[in-house]
Amino acid sequence: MRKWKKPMITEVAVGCET
Amino acid sequence: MSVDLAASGLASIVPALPRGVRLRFDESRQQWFLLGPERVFEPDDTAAEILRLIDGTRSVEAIAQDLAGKFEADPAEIAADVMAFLRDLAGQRMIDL
Repeated sequence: MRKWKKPMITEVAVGCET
Repeated sequence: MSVDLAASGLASIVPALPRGVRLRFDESRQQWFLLGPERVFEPDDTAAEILRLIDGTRSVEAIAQDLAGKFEADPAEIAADVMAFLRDLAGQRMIDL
């Protein structure tokens, strides 16, 4: 059994490309 | 392993990915990503486990029960963490509750 960790989610900055 | 979470009301909440949001596994990075319109979220292992169980038919209760069979923790704690996580994502419009 794996140990439970609180779920976390991170917004990734999406860079715009000249 | 059967866990009684019925009293929590989570059986009636069925999360779904909104139109335009999808969960994708990036083979090159070996990482799950939740992709929305012009937005990208990177879930950790626990969050990815939850997201993979969201199919528009499973309730939060069913998802928490599934996870309680995989992880070592009080099922009520898992259910509470899952619900808080989904509410947070719903606030970002990345999940429909």
